[in-house]
Formats: sequence, C-alpha cells, structure tokens
Amino acid sequence: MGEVIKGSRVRGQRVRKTEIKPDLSVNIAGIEMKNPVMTASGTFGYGIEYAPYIDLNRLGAIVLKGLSARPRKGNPPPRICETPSGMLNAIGLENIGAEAFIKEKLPLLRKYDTKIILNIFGDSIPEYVEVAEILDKVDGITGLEINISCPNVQKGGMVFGTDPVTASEVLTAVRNATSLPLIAKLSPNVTDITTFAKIAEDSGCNAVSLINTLLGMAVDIRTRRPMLANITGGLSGPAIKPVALRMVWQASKAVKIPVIGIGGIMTADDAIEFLLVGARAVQIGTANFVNPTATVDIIEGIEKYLTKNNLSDINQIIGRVVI
Amino acid sequence: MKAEILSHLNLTGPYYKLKLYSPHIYKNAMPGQFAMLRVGETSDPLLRRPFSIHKKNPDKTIEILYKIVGKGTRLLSTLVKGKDMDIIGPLGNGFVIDKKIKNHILIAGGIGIAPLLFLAHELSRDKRSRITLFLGARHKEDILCIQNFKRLKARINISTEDGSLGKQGLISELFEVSLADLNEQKIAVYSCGPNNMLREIHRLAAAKGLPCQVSLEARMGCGIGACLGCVVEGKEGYEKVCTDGPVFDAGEVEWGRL
Ligand SMILES: Cc1cc2nc3c(=O)[nH]c(=O)nc-3n(C[C@H](O)[C@H](O)[C@H](O)COP(=O)(O)OP(=O)(O)OC[C@H]3O[C@@H](n4cnc5c(N)ncnc54)[C@H](O)[C@@H]3O)c2cc1C
Ligand SMILES: Cc1cc2nc3c(=O)[nH]c(=O)nc-3n(C[C@H](O)[C@H](O)[C@H](O)COP(=O)(O)O)c2cc1C
Ligand code: FES
Repeated sequence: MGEVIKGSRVRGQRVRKTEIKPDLSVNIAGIEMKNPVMTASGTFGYGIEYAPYIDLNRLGAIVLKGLSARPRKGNPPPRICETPSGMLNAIGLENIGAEAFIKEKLPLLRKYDTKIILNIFGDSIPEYVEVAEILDKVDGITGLEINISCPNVQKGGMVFGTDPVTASEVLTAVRNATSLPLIAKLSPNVTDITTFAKIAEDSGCNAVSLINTLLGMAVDIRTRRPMLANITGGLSGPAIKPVALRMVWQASKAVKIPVIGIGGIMTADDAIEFLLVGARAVQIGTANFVNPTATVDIIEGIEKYLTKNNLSDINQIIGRVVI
Repeated sequence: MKAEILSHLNLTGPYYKLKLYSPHIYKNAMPGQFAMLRVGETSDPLLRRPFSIHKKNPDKTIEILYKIVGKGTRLLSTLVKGKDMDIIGPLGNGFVIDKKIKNHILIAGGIGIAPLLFLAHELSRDKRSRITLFLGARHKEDILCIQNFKRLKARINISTEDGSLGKQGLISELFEVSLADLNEQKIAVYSCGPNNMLREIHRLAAAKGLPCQVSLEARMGCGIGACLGCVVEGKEGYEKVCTDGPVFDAGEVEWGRL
C-alpha cells in the first residue's frame, strides 16, 4: 500500500515522519481482495442499492442476493421481525434468476473496482449445477458462494447443509460444473461445524463461509400467531455473534482452506474478533440495514486498529488469538 | 445522516411531533415519502423505524408525527431537543399529483394523517385546489392536525368509533355517504390508515371510477430495497413497500392478501 510522507515541525525543527498505511489485502480462494471486508448475501440486494450511501469501490468483495437458475417468488409476508439484538427473516430466497441477473444487474456492477461473488442455491442437485453452469465464464463474476442452507425437495425438504452425505454430493457436483473459485456457505444448524467444513474442503471448495442464519421463531402473544408467515425464520444480527465466533474458531482449526467469518458483525471491533480467531475475511450482513455505511466504517476501523498496534499487514492479526 | 432535533413535543396521549433540521430532506422530499430513523444507539432495538414525512418548513426543517406503539417508538419519544437524530431519507415513492385534477379527497385513519398533511400543503400550492379531508379514529384524542387542515381551508369530515367527536362510526362509512351525492368526475382520492380501512376506501373509490392512491405499511429491514423484507402482494407479484411504494395505486394491490 502507498507510503504517506508527513511533514511536521517539532520545536521549530522540520522532521520527516513516514507513516505506512497498513496492507489490508487478502487472498481468499484465489480471489485477490483489497481488504477482508465483504458483504453478506441477501443483505446487500444486487449491490447497486447501496451505491448512494457508500463507494462500492472500497469493498473487498460484494456478495449478492442468492440466485437460482429460475426466478423465485419467495415467501408470503410478513417476512421479517425484530428480536432482541437481532432479527428473524424468512424471505424465501426471492430472486430474479441467474439469466435476468446477468442481463439486468451485472452490467451495472462491472464498472466497480471490487470483486463480485455470486451466492447460488437450488432445490435439487441438478438445479445447483444448472445455476453454476449459467454463471460459469461470465465476464465480471469472480467466484461463487454456495448456499447449502436450503431444503432439498428431492429428499423431503431435508436441508442440504445439515446432512453430511447430501452436503458432500451437492458441493462435489458444483465443483465439477465450474472452474470458478468456490466458497461453501455453511449452515450453523448442525451439531459439529467442523464435519461440514471438512466436507467442503474434501469436495474441492476453495473456502468456507460461516455462519448462515440460525433457525428461530417468535410469537405475537396478543394474536397468538407466529410473527412470520413462514412460522420459523433465520436469526441474524448481534444476537448470533458469540455462536458464529465459536464456530469460525472451530472451523479454522479444522481446515486448511480459508474461513470467512459471518454473523452479527456490526463494528470493526467485531470484525477483528473474527480475524483473531482465524477468519481470513469477514462478511457484513444485518449491519448494513442499521447503518448503510457499516462496511466502509469497518474497513477504516480495522486500518486504525492495525496502525495503532504498529502492524503493517492484516495477516499479522489473522488467527492470532492468544489461548 | 445526522439531523439536529429542534423540538420534540408530546401532543396528546401517545402522539408526538418531532422537528428536525435537515436541509437534504427538506430539499428532496415529496409527499408520501418516508425516512428511516435510528431510535437508539444500542443494538436493541436494532433496526431503523420508518416514518412518513409529515411537514416541511421554509427554515429547512422537517416534522415527523408519530404514535407510541412499541419499544422503538417509546425509545424515540425519550430523545431530547439538541441531540442529533440518525436519519436516512427521503425514501420511496410518494403520491402522484395529477395537475389536471383540482378536487382532492384525503382520507386518513388515526396516525395515517401523518403523510396527508404534507400532501395537503403540496396540493394547496395550486390555488384552484379544493381539498376535502375525511379523518377517522377511535376516540377524539386520536384526531390530530385539524387546525393545520383548517388553515389550508380544507373541508373537514370527522368520525370517531365512540362518537366522542364528529359522526359516530367508521370514516369509510362517512366517505360512502358523501359519494352518494357526488356527480363530479375529476376527483382524486389519497388514503393512509389501517389496511381494513384502505381496502374499503379502494372498493368505494373503484366503484365510482375514482383514481385512488394508498400509502401502505410493512415491517422494514433496510428501507432501500435490499432485504426484500417489506413486500406486499400486488397484481403482478410481490412489491416492495419501501422502493415500489409506500404509495401504490390502489388498483395494483392484491387486497384479498393484505
Ligand atoms: C412507510 C411507513 C411510514 C410510516 N409512517 C409513520 C408515521 O408517520 N407515524 C407513525 O407513528 N408511524 C408510522 N409508521 C409506522 C411505524 O413505523 C411503526 O409504528 C413503528 O415502526 C413501530 O415501532 P415500535 O418499535 O414502536 O413497535 P414494535 O415493537 O416494532 O411493534 C410493537 C407492536 O406494535 C405493532 N405495530 C407495529 N407497527 C405498527 C403500526 N404502524 N401501527 C400499529 N401497531 C403497530 C407491532 O405489530 C407490535 O405488535 C410508518 C410505517 C411505514 C412502513
Ligand atoms: C434478510 C436476509 C436475507 C438473507 N438472504 C440470504 C441468501 O439469499 N443467501 C445466503 O446464503 N444467506 C442469506 N442471508 C444470511 C446472511 O448472508 C448472513 O449469513 C447472516 O445474516 C448472518 O450475518 P449477519 O448477522 O451479519 O446478518 C440473509 C440474511 C438476511 C438477514
Ligand atoms: S425494507 Fe428492505 S427491501 Fe424494503
């Protein structure tokens, strides 16, 4: 990173002080990012929604709303509700479909100097493969993040990412369908996260990201009805941070591929916690709703932390938790 | 964005009026648009809350009229003058004003009056505008802004469910009665309030062939079209209240699903 020479006067005598801007760049799954701050899928729309609030060029990478091979209508409302220090969502993976994305949204994103990573999902293994094939070799797409927290309709709705056999099958199938860098996005609704991190590694994924939302529920006691039309939903926000941090710590000890930390990151301090336990990058989700400039604030905060601690490179804090 | 709180008044009961210094919103806001307010600094409540822009003043201030209904609005009511409010706006699509129409009927239920005062001010800039207000609520304490509408020379019709002010009954009933002896066609209807009321207003306006716009509410995550949390069912699939609305042509809404 650039060297900034600052001139200042001390007791009338001119001295030159060299202030080195710390190097925040990281390489995840072969993707060179200018800093470790990414957006989390589903919380950043198709990216352009945030252009009025932040300079998208500042971001390490943008991960977009989950895409399927065909458009999806999503769940009926109400789809969200607030819970203590968090929120539940059951959007139902509404999206415009991969083809429409390439035609309508991607051209608007190509002009930004950041990495575009597409989050993908399907109802069945062939559907995962189909969407990966549609997006393979499309100009402007740097990598794919595979959301395995989806019900498998061929197996009675059992979630891909909570069953070791199906998880392995779907990840291997996508691996064989594309040469793009692959990030497996893990579900936290499992007993042992390291099992699934290892499955991702063994299936040829280049990184894992975690955590997706925790399955939750809320009831309106006046109407005695669930707060969400879908009854249950995914919990996100500060409430899930300790759980996410623990899982990221466990996963990064279990695998050699990079781990991307997600879950309740609101500030630079939160992000640094994830980096310390081994995450090589972080994704910012719900925080974008509360504060649309959260990502950029976090990048600046990490930079300040490094400078304050006389560190020149972000890699000097990754995995450096003292145990 | 930060906006200084210039005043914060308790009107009656659970109703408050917040005045903020915001040249940006003042300059850009259209009636029916809203803003997302951060009501606290901690993580609970976490999400911003949406509020309509109630009024703009020449001194570059805006006003928000709100009712305490839960945790977020209760916390909002404790913020004091002199503090900075964290606000994003103006957001969404406001009311469309057809310049050819001079006769405007504004129908509000309770706190639904909030965006309609701004609309009335905008409409009254055309000196030929005639504004008729129908305002309904539970009790006379829930009837707000009457003086403001009087100043705009609006014709005012009031109903309360308990009969404590105006006619006893629902405001849609009062509107229905007025429609009976209406023969003019160039009329536009604008409405904001509970869904059941809006559904009825839509039905009555549609039966007379009157254009009708409604301002809808939904729980919001982001307010800027990014989370897909705020949808309502429209004739052509789900519509986002935050960026496709909050004001919709009543004919576009799938009322049976609301
Ligand atoms: C576009 C838009 C514009 C709005 N403009 C205004 C405005 O100008 N003035 C205003 O007072 N409010 C307005 N609202 C409603 C306002 O956003 C909610 O009242 C507020 O978010 C409630 O937050 P809370 O934390 O106090 O309640 P919560 O804790 O979120 O909810 C408490 C309880 O109140 C119920 N509740 C939630 N919203 C409402 C509501 N609107 N009316 C009645 N009960 C509700 C909830 O279902 C829950 O049971 C608007 C909403 C939208 C979408
Ligand atoms: C409204 C909403 C929509 C989401 N949609 C997706 C999605 O489409 N695909 C996905 O993999 N994760 C999705 N997520 C999960 C987030 O990417 C993230 O893993 C989770 O919210 C935890 O991070 P946070 O606490 O920072 O929000 C969504 C989360 C929210 C709140
Ligand atoms: S509130 Fe997020 S899309 Fe409307």
